[in-house]
Amino acid sequence: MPEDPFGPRKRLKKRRVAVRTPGGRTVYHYRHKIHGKAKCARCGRPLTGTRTGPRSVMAKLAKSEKRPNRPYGGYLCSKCLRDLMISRAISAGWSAMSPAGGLA
Amino acid sequence: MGVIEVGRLCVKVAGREAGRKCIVVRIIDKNFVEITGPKELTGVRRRRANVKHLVPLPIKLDISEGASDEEVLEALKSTAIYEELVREAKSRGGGAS
Repeated sequence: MPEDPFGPRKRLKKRRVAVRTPGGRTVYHYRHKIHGKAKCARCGRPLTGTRTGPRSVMAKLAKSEKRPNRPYGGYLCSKCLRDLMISRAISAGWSAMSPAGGLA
Repeated sequence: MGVIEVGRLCVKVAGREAGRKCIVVRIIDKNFVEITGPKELTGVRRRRANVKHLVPLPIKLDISEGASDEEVLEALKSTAIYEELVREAKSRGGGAS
């Protein structure tokens, strides 16, 4: 019997699927684990514009197909990014700039 | 329209240019304005933008409506904010991207 390429850590890397063989036995086939969808790190909602799949598929995709092309794309959802940017603009922008040239 | 007016320095909060600063150069209608970085300074190209994607900052340049990128850059150079914009551009590894 050839050596198992996944070795003793097979159960950690793969999921088991019970398959009934033509001879009546039940054997376990090891398949790729199903990947979860990417979630926003702040609010936990699923991210839009992201792809999931086995590494063999993801490696063939272009970078722009895997996450939105914006700061924190693929990490924060657009709403949380907007909240972050607004709070940054208010805390850094408004305090650092003197209000002398300010709002008329 | 409130504080969004020609010459106003703003921060973009949505899209690929989120977090970058820009100058309003023209009011198109009650929802849209034309903005510019200028691109060689902050990386925001000259484009139409929804005012919901902009947060105004307390600095206003003295420029005419529809001012060119060169005119905006000249007006910026005489303000204190110019140094900060250059620093931000350097920390990003160049303005354009």
